[in-house]
Amino acid sequence: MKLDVGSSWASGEGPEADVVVSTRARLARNLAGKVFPGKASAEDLAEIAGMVRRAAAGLESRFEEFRVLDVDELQEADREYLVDARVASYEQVDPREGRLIILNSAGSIAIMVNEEDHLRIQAILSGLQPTSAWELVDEVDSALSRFLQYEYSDRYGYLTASLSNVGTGLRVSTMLHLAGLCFMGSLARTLRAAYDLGISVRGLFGEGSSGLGDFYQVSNEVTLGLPEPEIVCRVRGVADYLINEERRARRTIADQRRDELAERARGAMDKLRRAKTVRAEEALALLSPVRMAASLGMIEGGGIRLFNELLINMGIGRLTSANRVSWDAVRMEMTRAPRIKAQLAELTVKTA
Amino acid sequence: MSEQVRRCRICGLNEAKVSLGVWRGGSELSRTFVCASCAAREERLLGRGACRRSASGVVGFVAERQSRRAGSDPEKGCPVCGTTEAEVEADCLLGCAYCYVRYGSEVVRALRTAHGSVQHLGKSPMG
Repeated sequence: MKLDVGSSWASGEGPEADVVVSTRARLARNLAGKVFPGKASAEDLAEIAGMVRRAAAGLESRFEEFRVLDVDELQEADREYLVDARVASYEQVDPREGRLIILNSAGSIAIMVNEEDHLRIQAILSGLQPTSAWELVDEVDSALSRFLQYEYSDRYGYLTASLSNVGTGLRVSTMLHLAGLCFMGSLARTLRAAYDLGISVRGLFGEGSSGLGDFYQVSNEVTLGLPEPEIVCRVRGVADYLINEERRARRTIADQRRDELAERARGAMDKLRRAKTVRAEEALALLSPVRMAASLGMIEGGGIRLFNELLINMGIGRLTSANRVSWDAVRMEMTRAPRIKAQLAELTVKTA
Repeated sequence: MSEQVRRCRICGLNEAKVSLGVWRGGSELSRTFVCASCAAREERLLGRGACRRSASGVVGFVAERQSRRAGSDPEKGCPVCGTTEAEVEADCLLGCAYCYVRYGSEVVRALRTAHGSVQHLGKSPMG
């Protein structure tokens, strides 16, 4: 049976959902006295997996039931789906001893076991919710720490394999659809201002995916020397700035270039409906003006949710992992096209 | 000519007055020199009964784990996980908590560059 992890982040019901697809908060943790996964033996990794599995069972008194997935028991298609559903990284779905993915039913909480660190705990929510995402992941972390002792130093904070995560271990990121700024040709100038605020802006799936479908991730780079609420506040500040700029661009498009956008959206939908195969990059590029038109009320038959859900199960996640994962690109292209076609079937661009 | 001051291998700032040794099974594997402040912090870091301080001010860490790499040379790599200095410099990836001590000066340098800070200010396991 095909996996379904909930993916409530794609609901399109969160705050600022016209621009912000989702917000994620992720904590990196390692267990005290254990070598980090990159240097650990298979026996150690299995032991750590067992410890986390038992601790996760203890969470059920405070949270809903969790499901535990053994990565090495998953089919390739399921592993790919988990990356697209944003509950696992590429590294995590690469089968290796002791790798687990622990999920709640809504897909809003995911715990990756034995990736770069022993634990990567994430909360992912719809729209712009950095504070709620942090509070949720903090709650899971505190609950787990009743059963697990973390590697921690008064000086460096939570010790992680990568020095880029040490300290709080917290990475907060929001995924924004900046199609209006791209359409108006003002994205580069706007992003430069964001960089100046010390916040990283990357593509949909991090490095190597910049600009796919006009989706960008805003996240903190600094994890040490700032308390968690300050990190959350900084990411939120940059996200708010980009949202305002994006909405300003969309208003200009709606007022001055509405027909041009409608034509682009119509043309993109026609192309996707006719396609027998389509590459993920191409699909994302074509869907971008359609999603923006939907946010401006120019599309009948479907809203933001439909476009967010198209991000899942399209094999987008494999784009930056082509050299590491042996999934069949041709098979994906052939199955992607009819899936998109089916979801676009009821949509029409409103005439002015 | 003024006497050269030996700097702490962890913070690189203060004078190193404490010898930090790594011990396993009664044998000393390696030794480095740190300031009193960093020694106290590392004792807390390695803590949980693994650290001991002798009357002469020597802090010793009894490595509880066998080296993960057969024949690993503690002078060249971490005696706990085998991570080498070259690996740390190439990837900024450490293999275990003890690497933070073994490569203290490299860690401090990297953290200052990446984060502009070497002092945690957030949540702790104690709440």
